[in-house]
Amino acid sequence: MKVFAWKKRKKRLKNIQVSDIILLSVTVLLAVIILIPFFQIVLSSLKTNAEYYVQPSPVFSKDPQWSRYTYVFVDLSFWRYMLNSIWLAAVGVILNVISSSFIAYGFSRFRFRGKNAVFIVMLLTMFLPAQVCSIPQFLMFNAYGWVDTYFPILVPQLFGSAASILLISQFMRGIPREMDEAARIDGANRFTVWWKIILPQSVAVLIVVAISSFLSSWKDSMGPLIYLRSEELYTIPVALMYFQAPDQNSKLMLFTGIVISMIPTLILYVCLQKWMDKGIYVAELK
Amino acid sequence: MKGKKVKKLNFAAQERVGWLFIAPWIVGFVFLTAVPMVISLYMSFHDWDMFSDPVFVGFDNFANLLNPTVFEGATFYAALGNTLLYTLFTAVINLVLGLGVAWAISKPSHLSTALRTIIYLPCMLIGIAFAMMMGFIFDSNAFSLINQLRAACGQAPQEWLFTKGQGVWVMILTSFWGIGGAMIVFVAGVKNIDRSIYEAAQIDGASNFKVFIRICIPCMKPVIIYQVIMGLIFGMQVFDIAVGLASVGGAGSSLGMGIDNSLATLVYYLYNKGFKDFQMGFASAIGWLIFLLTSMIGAGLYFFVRKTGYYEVD
Amino acid sequence: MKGKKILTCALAAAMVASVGALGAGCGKNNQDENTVRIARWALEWEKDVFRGWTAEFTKANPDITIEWEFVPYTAHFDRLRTDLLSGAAADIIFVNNWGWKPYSNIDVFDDLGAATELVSARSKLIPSVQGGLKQGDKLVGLPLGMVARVPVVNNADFAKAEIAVPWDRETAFTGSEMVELLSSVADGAQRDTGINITLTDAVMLFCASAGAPIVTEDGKSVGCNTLEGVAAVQNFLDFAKSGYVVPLSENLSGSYGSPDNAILSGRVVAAYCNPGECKGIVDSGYSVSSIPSLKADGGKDTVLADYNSLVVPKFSKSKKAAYRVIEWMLSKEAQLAYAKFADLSTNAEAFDEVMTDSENWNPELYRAYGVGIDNIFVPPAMSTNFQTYFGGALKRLLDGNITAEQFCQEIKNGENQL
Repeated sequence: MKVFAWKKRKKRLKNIQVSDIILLSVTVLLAVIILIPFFQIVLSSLKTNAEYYVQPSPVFSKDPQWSRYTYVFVDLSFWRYMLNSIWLAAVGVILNVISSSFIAYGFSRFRFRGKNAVFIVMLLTMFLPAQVCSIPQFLMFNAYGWVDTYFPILVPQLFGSAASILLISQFMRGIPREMDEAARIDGANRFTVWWKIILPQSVAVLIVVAISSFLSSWKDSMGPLIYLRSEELYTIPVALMYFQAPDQNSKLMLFTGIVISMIPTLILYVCLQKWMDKGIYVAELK
Repeated sequence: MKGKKVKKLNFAAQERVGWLFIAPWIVGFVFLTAVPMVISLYMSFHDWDMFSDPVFVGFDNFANLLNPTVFEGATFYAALGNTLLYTLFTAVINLVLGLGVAWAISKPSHLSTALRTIIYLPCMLIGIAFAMMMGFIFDSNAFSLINQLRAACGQAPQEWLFTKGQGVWVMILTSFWGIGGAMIVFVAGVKNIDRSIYEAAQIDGASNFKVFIRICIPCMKPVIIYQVIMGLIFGMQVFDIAVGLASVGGAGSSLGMGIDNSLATLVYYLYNKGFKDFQMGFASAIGWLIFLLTSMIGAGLYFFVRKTGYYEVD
Repeated sequence: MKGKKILTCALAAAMVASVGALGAGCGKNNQDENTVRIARWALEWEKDVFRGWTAEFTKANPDITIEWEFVPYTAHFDRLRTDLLSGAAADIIFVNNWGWKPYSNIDVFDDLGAATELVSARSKLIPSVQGGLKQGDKLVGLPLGMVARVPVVNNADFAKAEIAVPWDRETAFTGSEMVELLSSVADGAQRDTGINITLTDAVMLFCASAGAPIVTEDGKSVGCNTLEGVAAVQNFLDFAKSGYVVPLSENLSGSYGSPDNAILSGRVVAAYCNPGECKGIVDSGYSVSSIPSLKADGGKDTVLADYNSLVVPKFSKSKKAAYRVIEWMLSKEAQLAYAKFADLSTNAEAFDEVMTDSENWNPELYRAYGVGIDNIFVPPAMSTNFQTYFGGALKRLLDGNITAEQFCQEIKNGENQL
């Protein structure tokens, strides 16, 4: 046992080559460059007005304004906006993942006339900028009376999103059909096949779709801006706009708001790391 | 005999149920996309400020946009140039760096997990947050990072964002921070390659670089093609970073799109015309031109890929 | 079989959802006619201040309820568009000239000129302000507050340079006079430069004071393409290039701070502020005064202002109540209270009091805002096309690529984009 493990390790060490080292150091350099603005924004959010506007500005503030964080979070109700954003994003993700995988199953596992045409139309919808559709959509949702509710933001998720469907359907093609056939011979219908067999197999790609869907909902500023009127419903992107006034007193508040808004996504991502590795591991085992 | 009959039945039943699975998307498409698309196409031949009745102008909107001697046309071409440059370069950056980083961190270790988290971080930022942070580095004033570097080399600070022809390069440079999206997809793709292939190659004595080029990339071809196409499509629709950089100095600090169209992109032009000037008809015309352009690029790519014979659209 | 089940489930869900949606929609439009909703942009920490302001009115008029709807500044005009489209707009809406342009042709606002309740309130406004927002013959917007900016200086700097602060000067400065003043103070107080003034405002001010405005107030034509205009632009150029004015690239957020915060950076002598913005500086512990603004050589003293006006949508259900609120807002008491935390007053009596009452107000800080009040110029909002024209030409002028005359010609060429 021990000898075997040591031999494996020696083999791995031998395989580290110059190209590996170069690539890794470039990556590390990239990571450092990427981190720089993060440091700057966190440090700037702690500076006093006087310190920030004097150049050269000291890197570390001598009088860190931690109170700004409590002010933004509590007094300005940022916690509510954060909860709203999280809730909207979570519900949106669930709807999107379920419906996109449902639809992707249809595209990848069936052959019927017209399927290709519909597929191409779906691709084409990605070519149109969203802003073109936003006013007619607004008029429609307004006619339903859905303005100032979350419906206009969540309901479109029920119908899947083209990018997710594309990714999932490509992945599903790679799942061998023998499992489908076996299940169907045993009497399962199509729906059960999807739910019990295909879905568990697709966990890896579903996680990727969930992450990207969560992020696009989190970052969405146009939808909430157009449809939400009551302050209690605002999400973080809209709340951040409160800090963007022509007067510059609010710039440091904006930085504080930005740092606060990064925290939930960070926590989520760190937690999801384990899931991602697990999911990819499952895919690998297969 | 019996087996054949069952198969035939299955095929017909297969067909109908397929439509059922796709139905949700079709419903959504009709209400949320098709109807607005038709309305916007109709409006692109009119002058419409959303409150009064539309006024028919025929092809005037399109003619003005495509005519470089008219102001609208000149702006359109400036935006088009910026957008094409941005699309091309960011696609390359995302591909090369995303793939390289994905390969570099493919061996699981604590370092690679940390690197993956760090590099993905900027993709989790809200648009204005990302723009503000890029402003620290690229802003026109004397203490942005870039200008401080220039000062260290003895050069005067330069107005990166507001000089025509330079704004788009700032936008392209900011995409270095955005490679996380491509990286994540490539990491999933790299992990899906069978270990045994690597081991076979290593037994044959191939260098890691060769393994990368000869094995990794071909195995990942579908993923790579998908990512490139997605990158091109969304590159053509670049908007958030342009608006963000234009307002880094505070709301209203730029006149138009950056100064002298330095930060003009196609969708930004659409947004200004439609939502700031209320010329929805004109904005719709811009939207349809964007659609046509992106379709041409998409179609070109599709035929190119089909010729190389790997991607299946079943 | 299972497929049919799914279909029926989906249909049922859709029906429930639509019923629910209709139900949700029904409850919205039952606002009673004594509730007045007011929409304004505000920073988070300004909201309570506004609510406190109107609390005075509610005390005196308990039958009317006021509901404020606050929106982020950048979102206010985006929101206004969809609100007017959907009919959900507030009863009183604040607008300023910057965002008014796209709405200036839309027939969705109430004619406030026809409201008899407001006639007396209007007559009490500063004469040069009585215009308001017009659409053809209709008066759709009444100016509530005036946003005007003048150079604000740090008293300590002047003391150090041993120069008296000319806060009580009767006339505006010409470009060269201002440079002379600021340079001597800057040298004496060891500041890097003189003033951080918004350069677009500066060029507008020079041209307007010479009677050749860049864009005429009706927003329809370019007026700087005359001899006076070219001379005024040349004055501006000399001023901007004097070395004591913050350059364009640093103008808004750069190392010299933004125009209204510039003093905080410690590098400039004068910041270019609105009185409301001075509050931030005063709160940081500085003692400040204002000095009169600029004019072209041989030009008239001019106030470059933007109005925050009130408009009422046609479809509002609470018009009568809204008129009473507006009448109160334009009254002297309300205007004085407003001026304490926001814009300058448009009510004539209130304005005079702010300028002269040394007990409750600080004449050193406010008086200079009154220089040129007889000649107010309100720059009309520019379309995005014209903004591009203007911005590009201004940049080329400041970079030295074109002359003043060519600048005026370029602006003139953009006239049809207005």
